[in-house]
Amino acid sequence: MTNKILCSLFWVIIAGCAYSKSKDIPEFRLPPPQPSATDDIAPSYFSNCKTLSDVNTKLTSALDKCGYVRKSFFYVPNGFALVTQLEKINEDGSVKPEGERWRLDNYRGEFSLKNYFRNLFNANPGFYRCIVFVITDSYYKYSENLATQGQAREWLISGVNKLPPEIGQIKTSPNYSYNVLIYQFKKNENDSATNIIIPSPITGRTHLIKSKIYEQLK
Amino acid sequence: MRINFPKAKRKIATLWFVFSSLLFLLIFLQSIAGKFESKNQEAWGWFLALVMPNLTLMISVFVNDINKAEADISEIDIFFYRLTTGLSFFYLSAISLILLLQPLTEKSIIQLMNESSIFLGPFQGLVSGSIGLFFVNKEKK
Repeated sequence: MTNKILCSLFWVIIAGCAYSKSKDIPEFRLPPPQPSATDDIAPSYFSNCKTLSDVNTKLTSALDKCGYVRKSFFYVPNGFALVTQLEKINEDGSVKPEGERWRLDNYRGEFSLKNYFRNLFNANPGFYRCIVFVITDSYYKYSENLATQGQAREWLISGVNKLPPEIGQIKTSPNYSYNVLIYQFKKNENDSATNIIIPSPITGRTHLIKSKIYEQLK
Repeated sequence: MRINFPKAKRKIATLWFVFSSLLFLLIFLQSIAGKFESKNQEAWGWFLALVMPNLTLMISVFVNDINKAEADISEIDIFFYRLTTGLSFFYLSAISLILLLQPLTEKSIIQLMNESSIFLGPFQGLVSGSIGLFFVNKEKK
């Protein structure tokens, strides 16, 4: 009887330690700000993943192949959130060429007569996207707050650079969902402010298809 | 050296009206195409404030001359003609270049318009002054 009590106590302490360690990791606050678009990646994409570490390996590998080299990790209840670097995109959700993709200024591309006349008569608004993957078995709703471009940049800075092992060792279950929150921003050429687009003119799935993430997850 | 005043006046007026019409057309097309986004009013305000005072001055002089019964045979020192033409040409070219070179910069068109007001304002004063001098210094033959 005493052994059983001691054993239970031991596991409670271990679980407590793991929990407090998770608490040291920056937390992605739920409810998150309203996203521009969302998607749920089908669990079948992660059917071979036994732990969250496996899920992370598969996800980061796909993201790396899509050019999302810089990422940031956060703790969420029983899971983690992965935030990608804010990128400049085309209006249809497809990615910009590498030289332009990570620039946040009004870069107009290489000089050509076609480009020149297009820019002479048309405005050149910038579209930006930040993708947040939330892997958790918990429910959450969206807050009424609107995300800002500064917040998206802050996420990248304030998270940790890799998935902490104490989160990675958590076993997955069919209750886990693989949510994707897309935050899309628009900066008009003649405005200094960048505003979130809610709702995004394209679906979350289209965002993931255009960024080729689905292709790499297969 | 002196030149015929009505002829010189017509040349300066032609320079101003042709240049202004082309700029008007360019800004009109840009407005239609959405270049200024929600800031059409600012763009037109910038352009009209730069050209309208001088165009109005010239139109007033022309209307005044038409109303005169006798034919104008006055002359003007070629220096005033050249000064006015040169300053007008540089001034209108500066306005044109702001619009035409903007696609090659990373600044927005409205930002460039606001920044250019710093030097175009005093420049406009010079041009207006020279046009005023041109009309005042004509002398009868």
